[in-house]
Formats: sequence, C-alpha cells, structure tokens
Amino acid sequence: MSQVVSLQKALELDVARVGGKTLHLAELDAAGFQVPPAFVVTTDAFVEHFQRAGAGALLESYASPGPTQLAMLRDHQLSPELVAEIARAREALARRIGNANDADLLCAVRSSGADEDSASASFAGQHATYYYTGAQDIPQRIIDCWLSCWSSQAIAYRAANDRSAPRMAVLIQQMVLAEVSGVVFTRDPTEPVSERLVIESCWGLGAALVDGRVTPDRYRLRRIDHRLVSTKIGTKRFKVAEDLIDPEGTRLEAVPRHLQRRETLEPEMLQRVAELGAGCETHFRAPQDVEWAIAGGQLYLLQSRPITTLIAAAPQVKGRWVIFKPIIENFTEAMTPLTIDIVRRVIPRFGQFIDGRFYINFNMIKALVPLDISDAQLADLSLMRPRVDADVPRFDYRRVWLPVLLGLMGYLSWGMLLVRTRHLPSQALAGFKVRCAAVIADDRLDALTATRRLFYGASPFAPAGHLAFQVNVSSARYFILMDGLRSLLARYAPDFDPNLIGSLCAGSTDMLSTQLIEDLRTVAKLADSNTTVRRLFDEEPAETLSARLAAEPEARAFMSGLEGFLARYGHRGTREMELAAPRWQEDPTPLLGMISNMLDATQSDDDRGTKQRALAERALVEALPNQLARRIADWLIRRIRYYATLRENTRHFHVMALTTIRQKILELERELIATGALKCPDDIFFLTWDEITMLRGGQSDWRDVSILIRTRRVDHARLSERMPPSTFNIELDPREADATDLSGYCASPGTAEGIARLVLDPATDAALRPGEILVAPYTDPAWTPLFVNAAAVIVEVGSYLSHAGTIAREYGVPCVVDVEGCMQRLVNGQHLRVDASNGRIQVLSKPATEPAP
Amino acid sequence: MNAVLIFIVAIPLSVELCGRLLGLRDVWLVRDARPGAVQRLIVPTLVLGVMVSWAAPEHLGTLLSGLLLPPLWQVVTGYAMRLVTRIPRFQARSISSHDRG
Repeated sequence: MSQVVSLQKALELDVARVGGKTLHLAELDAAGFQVPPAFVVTTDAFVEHFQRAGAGALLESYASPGPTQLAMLRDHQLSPELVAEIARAREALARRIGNANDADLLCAVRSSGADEDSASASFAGQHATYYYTGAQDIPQRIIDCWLSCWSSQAIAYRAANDRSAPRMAVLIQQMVLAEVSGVVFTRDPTEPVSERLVIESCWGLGAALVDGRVTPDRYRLRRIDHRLVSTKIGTKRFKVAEDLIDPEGTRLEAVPRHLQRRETLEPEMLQRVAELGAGCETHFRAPQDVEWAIAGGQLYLLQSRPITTLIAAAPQVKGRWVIFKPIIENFTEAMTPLTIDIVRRVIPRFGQFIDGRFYINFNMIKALVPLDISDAQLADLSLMRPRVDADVPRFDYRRVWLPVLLGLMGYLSWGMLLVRTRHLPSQALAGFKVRCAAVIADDRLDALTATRRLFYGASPFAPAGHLAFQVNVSSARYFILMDGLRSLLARYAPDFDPNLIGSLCAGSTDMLSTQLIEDLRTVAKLADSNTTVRRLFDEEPAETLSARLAAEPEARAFMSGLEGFLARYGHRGTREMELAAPRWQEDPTPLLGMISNMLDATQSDDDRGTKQRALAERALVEALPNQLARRIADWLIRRIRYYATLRENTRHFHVMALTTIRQKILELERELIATGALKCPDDIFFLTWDEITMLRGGQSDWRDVSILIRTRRVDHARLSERMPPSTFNIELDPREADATDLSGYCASPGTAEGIARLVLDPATDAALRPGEILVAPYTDPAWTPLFVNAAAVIVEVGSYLSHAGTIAREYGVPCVVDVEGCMQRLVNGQHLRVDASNGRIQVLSKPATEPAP
Repeated sequence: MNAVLIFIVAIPLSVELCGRLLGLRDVWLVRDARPGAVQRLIVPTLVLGVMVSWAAPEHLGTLLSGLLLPPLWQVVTGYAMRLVTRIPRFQARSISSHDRG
C-alpha cells in the first residue's frame, strides 16, 4: 500500500496511519470547510524509515536517542522510492491548485502524530512544523518532523499523558501566504465557565502567535450569538519572516510601526472566524482550538484540535505560600523563565516562584510574627490588606523568642544601615548610576555576575549610593511608624478618620515618581508650545510619531527636552521589573503616548492632592487637642513621609539595575543570533541561564532549544492571562461582596461618581476624559499621567503602599486597590460610584452604548 | 558586672557611631546635608568619651570588643549571605503547572 496519500484518501485510513491532525482536516475538508490542499506521508513510512536506519528499538519504547544517534538519524536519508512518491504527490498537489510552475509551490510540513490532537492530549506545540518549504527541502523536513517525536518536551509530555510509543505521519499542505492569521478557542481556556469564545489574531503567519512570540489582538465573543464582549489590541512587534527558506536567517521580522497597534480583523471577518470555530465545534461535538489564516480575502482552516486544557490544573505545591505583593502590584503577568532564573539565584530560599510569580513561605512568616491571630488574618497582613474591623492582635509570648533572637542578629547586621538611612538625601543614591555604568562597561561581567554584583557586590561599608537594595529594605520601617501613628490616633483622636492618615503622610516634594511626572509635564509643555509639534501629536499615529518628530526641524527643542528626560529616566518603562520588557531608552513610543495623554489632560484640577492634605491636617488639629500627642504625631508623619519617599526613590535605582542586567542579556542575545544559535529576538528570555551557557559553549544548538522556547512562550502567554492565586494551601476569609458591587481596600480616601474606563495599556489607550474612573489591572510610573484626569482609580491588585496608592494620595484621587475581578466584571461606559474610604464600588447603571473596544 | 554593662552599651554605641560616620561619608557630596551629618556625630562621640573614661583602664578591652562586634558581624554576615546564595540548594526555586514530566 502506498505510503503517501492525498487528504481525501486519508479519510479512508485510520488515525494510527495518518495521525489525528490529518484525519481531522480530512473530515473537515469532506464536510465542506475551506482546507488547503494537502497530502500525507503515513506512519508506515515512519516505521520503515527508522527500521531501515537500525533504530527500530526507538519505536517500541520511550527511549530517547543520544546525541550521536540523533545526528546519524538526521543524516539518514529517505528511501529513493519514498522520495519519488512524495515528488509525485507534490506534482499532483500543484496541478490541483493550478500552479503551472510547480517549482514555485511552497508547502507547510506539519507533524501528525498518531496520538496527536486526541480528546485527551493535543500535543500542541510538542512536535515540529516547517513553513515555506520548497520541493528539495521536503524530505529533510519530514525527517525533522519525525525526529521531533524525541524532543525532550515530547517525551516528557508523552510520559505524563501515558501515551504509547511514537508513530508519526507528516502532512504536507499548500502554504497559505497569510495576511492575517490566528486561533479561535471555541471556549475560553482561561475561563471555561464564561460561555465565551476567544479569537486571537496577528499579522502574517500564525506561527508567531501559536509560538507565543507576538502579543496578538484578543477578541472575546459570546458563544451563543457571537456578540463582541471585549477587544484587546496587542502590540504586534514581530511577524514570521517570509523568507524562512533560509535556515540561517532569523525567523521573525519587525512589523512596521503603523501596523503594530492596528486591529487585524474587521467586524465582518471576525464573525466569519467565529462561525468557522463554531462550525468545527459542531462537527466534532467538543470545544475546539482552531488555527485559521486569511489570504486574498479567503478564510482558510489550517487545523482543528480539541481543547485539552480547559481548566488549567493548579500546580502541585507543597507547603503554604503567600504571594509577594511588592512585585505582583508592579505587573501581573508571569515573569519570563530567564528573569526568574537570574533573580532566583540571588534570593535565598524563603520564597519560590510558582507559575512565574514570587511567593513567600507562609510558615516562615508565621514563625517570625508572634501574634495571636488566625492563619487567614496573618495571610491578610502578608497581603497588606488592612483589617479595620479586627481587634488589635495580642502578642503570643511563648513564640516571641525566635523573632527577638533574629531581631538582635538583624540589628547587628543592619543596625548601621538603619542609622545611615535615617537622614539620607535622595541625591546620595545617585552613585548607583555610576555603579551601573561601571558594570555595563566591564566586559568580563555577564548578566548573572552583574546581577550578583548589583545585588550583593558592594561592601557593607560602601557608600549608600551603592547599596540601593539594602536602603530599600531598611526604609520599609515606615510600616512600623505607620502602625504607631494609627495606634496613637486611635487612642488620642478617636474621631479622626483613619483613611485620612494616607493624605497626611503624602506631599513629599522629593519623590522621583512625582518628579518624573513633573519633568515629563515640562517636556509636554514644550510640545504644546510649538504648533508643529502639537499638530504631529494630534494627527500622527503613535507608532510613526517618533520618526516624524526626529525628522522635523521645528521639533528640535522638544526632542532636546525629550533626550534630557531620557537621560534621567530612560531606564524606566512599563513592566519594568521584568527583564524582557523594553525600556523607554530603547523605544520611546510609550513615552510619547504618555505625553499625548498629558496634552489632553490640561483641564484637570492639579491641586486635589494639596486640598486633600489641607483637609486632613485641619481634621487632625480638631481631633487631637493633646499637644504632646500632636507633636509625636507630627514627628511620625514627617518620618513616614521621609521613609516612603526613600523607598519609592530606591525603586528608581532598582529598575536601573534591572536595565543594566537587561543590557547584558541583549548583548548576549546579539552574539547568539549572530552565530545562529538563536533565531528570534526575545527568545533568550525563554531559556534558563544554564541553557544559554550550553548554547554559547556549543554544547547545544537552535534545534535543541527551538521547541523548548516555543512551549515556554505559549505557557507564558497562557499563564499571563490568569490572575494568580494570592495564596497556596491557606484558607482566606471570604470577602464581603454581592452580585452587583465590588470591594477592595482603601489606598486613598474619598468618594466619586463617574464613567468606568478600563485601560490595559497606558501608553496606547486613549487619554482619560476628566471625570472618568480609571480601572486598571495594576499601575506603574507609565500610568501616572492618567491619574491627573481620573475622578477615581480602581486597581485589580495592589496595596496601600503600591504605586497606585502612593500616587493617588499625592494627587488626592480616591483609590481602591486589590479589587478582585474588576477587569472582568466592569465594562467601559458603566456609571460607577466609588466609595474609596470604605473600599466599595457600586455599579449604578449599565453603559449607555456598546462597550468601546 | 561593669564589664557586662560596658559590653552591652558599647554595641548600640558602635552601631550609632559607625552608622553616623558612614552617614557623613554618604552625604559628603551633597553639600547641604553635610552640616547636619556632622552635628549628628556629636552625641555618640561624647558618649564614647564618657564610656572610655568609665571603662579605663581595666575594661578598655571589653569596650573595644563591644565596639568592634557590629562592624565585624556585618562583614561576616554580608559575605556569608553572598556565599549562601551561590549554593543552589539555598536558592529560591521555581515550579510551574506547565512543567512536563
């Protein structure tokens, strides 16, 4: 029997011979779906090839070939009979398509494992696929597909899913030269109960999306009538290069800037894609993960497989863990593998990374906090959630010896630093910049040693400017002072609203985060004062604005101001705690978006913060007649303001260190791409340090890591869509909330009513109109301009001490943080009442119009 | 008894004195902050003078031990921390629900 059959003939064979992917496509083709013409090399050819190569043993077990055997198998050619059969099938394919010159026909070569795309295991991303394959390369690509059966990921996946020994067919499909492509999940894999389907799309070939290499546009639609529920436009920086035939070339190319933030699907095509997904689900009677592509206005179905991971299993975690709030409130996405691997090497084992987020050992916290409180109460404390209704916790004197002992040791280790940082002006930290510059200039330091040097490298007696991390830790003592102030006011000024304490302690003039905004405002004024620059900001898309400004002679003053700003703050950016995140100095587009927001935010009341503080101070004078208590309170307020500023300012230098480490990584990436060990920008962030070292030393190459990177990218994208659990193996007290209201914690007091405005990207989402309520997943400095116009701020994660809380208090904006599910439950246009003092958000009415995309 | 007391008092005195001395060095380039940093040295220096006159001559060794303990402790723990974080089993771990195998 022939070992090469057409897609139509494949329908007559069983899954063991043509593989799950081929059989599904053959069925859909027969059912009238638009499937690209294809033929398949059956598993008989697979078996015969490896037996002929003397590797029959591999077919009977999970055994993996060693490097020598793998190299031998890679070089072992297909039999001449099979090559001839494939050539004939390809000619037939060319004739069917009507391609007169079949030498021009390009194909996609896809694995189709016998146990692939089944209802219980999809093997998504485990086996190889090759695009833009010409006639002469097909035999080698078939061998490469077969060998991907023994990639370490595929072996592990097979073992974990109790699959049988490998059998693989290979599908050779007409290459669809896609203008837009993507995936439709007929049920949202991250929220299976939501009755929504999800469509993801990107420019060009969908491989970049499937591999997790681009942030796609993401559409959520109701399953029942395909009505659009939400749209998230991704920044599609890359697409698959169209000259992939060159094996030495990089696999991705940059998307032109004006297309990066442009929506990829028109409403009509969006509906067609949704219908395609629904059709596949109806056909197979199960939720499907469907790959599609659009070329020349035609919508093609490339693949359909069951969704096997509808409910992602939580990792099996031993022990009790609580999320580390200071990191998660800076960005909620999962950290990349390289960021984790580098950072974890300088952190002792009191914490661990779970699904890309950092957690602290709860049992250790329990041992160190000698308070007589429940686990749930202690977890709330660890999560920086105030418990205003709770009684003052009592000391458990039986457990006090360990914290006292550790406290004494800590005093000996940290006491001098605590003294040094009592009166440390922020200018004294500027030495850290010199330290970072020295690390960058030192070619002997790689990213890992640079990290160690910047975290621990300085002697304990080095100038404080070299000890930014230690200064940050030492300034955290203002938590204790804040508690002291609360207790003092509760005792001597019981009528004073404790929510106003934050406003009392705000108002620092020395805080770099607010200075950053003031400096940016100065740059924005330069833009506003020049009609040409202002016009460019009003008319030019953000993606091309930078280039236009650089080319415009009249924009020189503005560009000079911008350069000055970048010299001081260029190391910052969005998601700045993540090493993979680009900085403003690399790409100022987000910064120009912030300036654009500022230009639209001139009508706001800038003095809200000052007014709020004056109000709080008056209330304190009235509520606290005792002079001695007043003096103590004033001293505490001054100290809290000082330490809060110091802590916020050290963040500026932490980010500088991370940017330095990132520069070292990018140097290494350039070297690896030049040698062909890596093919795509940013792939390096999906390897561990040991894997990079092996690549660099030549002990491994691109083929060894390509599938690994793809798998990790997909995992990272999926994990980043989920809000991580706050704790593992700890039962928290349920929150008070009802079906219509949301609740969180007060970070800045006050009440406000306004229209909800959900913002996912502060740089590219349009500016807030005065009176709108900002709803955000988290905030960092890039979000600050939006606070100026906001009537109130609602943040999904965060705490009183987070960036959102600190800035909201500075601007006097009511702010509720830690509002679980606000990004899912609130929609644009809803009329909201925010009672920040009590942490309540009430939905007063539905949006007047459909949610804006 | 005096020796114990001198040793105990010498520890926080050392922390304050060394901390304020290093604090002066930290702010040396910030002209406006210098006078304050110098002023903050006065009290611990006076206390040191009192301590020396109290401890001299028989307990000077004890005083010196108490004064040296914090800086030495800081050096030892600082370098121990660096060493410990280089040993893989003392480093933080990473686990994932997507870990295969």
